[in-house]
Amino acid sequence: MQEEYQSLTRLKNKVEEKYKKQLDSLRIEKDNEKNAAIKKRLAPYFAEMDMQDYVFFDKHPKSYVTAYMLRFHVGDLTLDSLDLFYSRLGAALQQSFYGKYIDEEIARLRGGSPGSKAKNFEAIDIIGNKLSLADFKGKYVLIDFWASWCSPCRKGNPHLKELYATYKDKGMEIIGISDDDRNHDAWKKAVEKDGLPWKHVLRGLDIQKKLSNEPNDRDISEKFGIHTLPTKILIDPFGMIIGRYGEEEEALDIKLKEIFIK
Amino acid sequence: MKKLIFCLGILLTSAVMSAEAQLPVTWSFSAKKLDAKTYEVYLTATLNGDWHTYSQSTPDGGPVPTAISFSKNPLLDFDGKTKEVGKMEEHFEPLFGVNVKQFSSKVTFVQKVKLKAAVKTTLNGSVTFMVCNDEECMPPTKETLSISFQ
Repeated sequence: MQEEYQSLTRLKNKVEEKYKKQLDSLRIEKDNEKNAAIKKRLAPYFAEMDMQDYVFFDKHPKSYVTAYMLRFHVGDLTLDSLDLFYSRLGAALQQSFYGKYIDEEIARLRGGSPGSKAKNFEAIDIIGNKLSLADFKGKYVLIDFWASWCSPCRKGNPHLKELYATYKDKGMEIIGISDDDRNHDAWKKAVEKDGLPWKHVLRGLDIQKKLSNEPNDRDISEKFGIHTLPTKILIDPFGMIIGRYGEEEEALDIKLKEIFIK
Repeated sequence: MKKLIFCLGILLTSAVMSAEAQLPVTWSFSAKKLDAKTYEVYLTATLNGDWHTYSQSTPDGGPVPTAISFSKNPLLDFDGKTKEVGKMEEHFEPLFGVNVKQFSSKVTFVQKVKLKAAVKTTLNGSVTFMVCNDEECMPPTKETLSISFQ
């Protein structure tokens, strides 16, 4: 197993060598725009690195290394691919620590992906009122997982405000779910600074439970399999999830146009 | 070989290519003996791809600073604050209104420790940190550490 892991590492080091010049220039480029341009050109590097893992999973479906590494791709593989790799692990590996972990992660991701009924959640909102997702049945709801400290999230707020202004009277609500349980002040400041006119609740993170791997019924991110921020989930008037998006704006824009502009 | 390429073809079309190539950060912990009763403890974060993590001193109102805490141990004294060794990048982020201080590729947090007696003991602690790249952030998480002094 050590050998397998080492051969995978060697292959990935080769990929890094191939892109070394570009990776180095990325690290030293301070100008944000130039930095973003280098990153765009490095897209093949990221794809190749991921692909090395996927090829390994495909070649060694029952390897312990596959079970170990699969965890790191719950955020980038589709549900179909994850289901496929998980099923090929075999019963023994599925019962292992990593196997069970992946199974749970896949279940959470499925719960937050198109085709699933959105799990209900309840929380106290930013102005002190009880809020539950079920209150909004009959409307389209966009739940926006973000945080005051997440700059890609804050960057996306102006555009979200535009969408809200366009669609709120047509039957759409936005609920911001912020990972700011550890700092309520920062949360409130960010909502005020960015001028976000929609509903706001906190994620409900309990760090002790998280670290001891205890499930937490109040943790909204857990219900929807959230690994990175921003993640936006679109729910239809019947409570079904019909879209899941990261930082990219175009896909959500197109979806909303399809729904509301006939 | 053809079969493998065919399978990969299916995976390629269904897999979503993203910038999240591999685990954003890996931590390693070690200690170096300076003399009979003095050690330096190293907490090294290796950042992959375009991920970065934050200085202990990145200001309030922006990203969550890296925080290192050590459990009390009656046999140990901490000599000074935890230093940061690495190429710190600083830039004003208008979204937060603060000067964000961060590290890409690598940073080592160094803490000098003095043993009150030349005995074997263990230093326990944890580091809480978060990582971001341009497209996304991962929420703060904690790594625990345990280092033995001989």
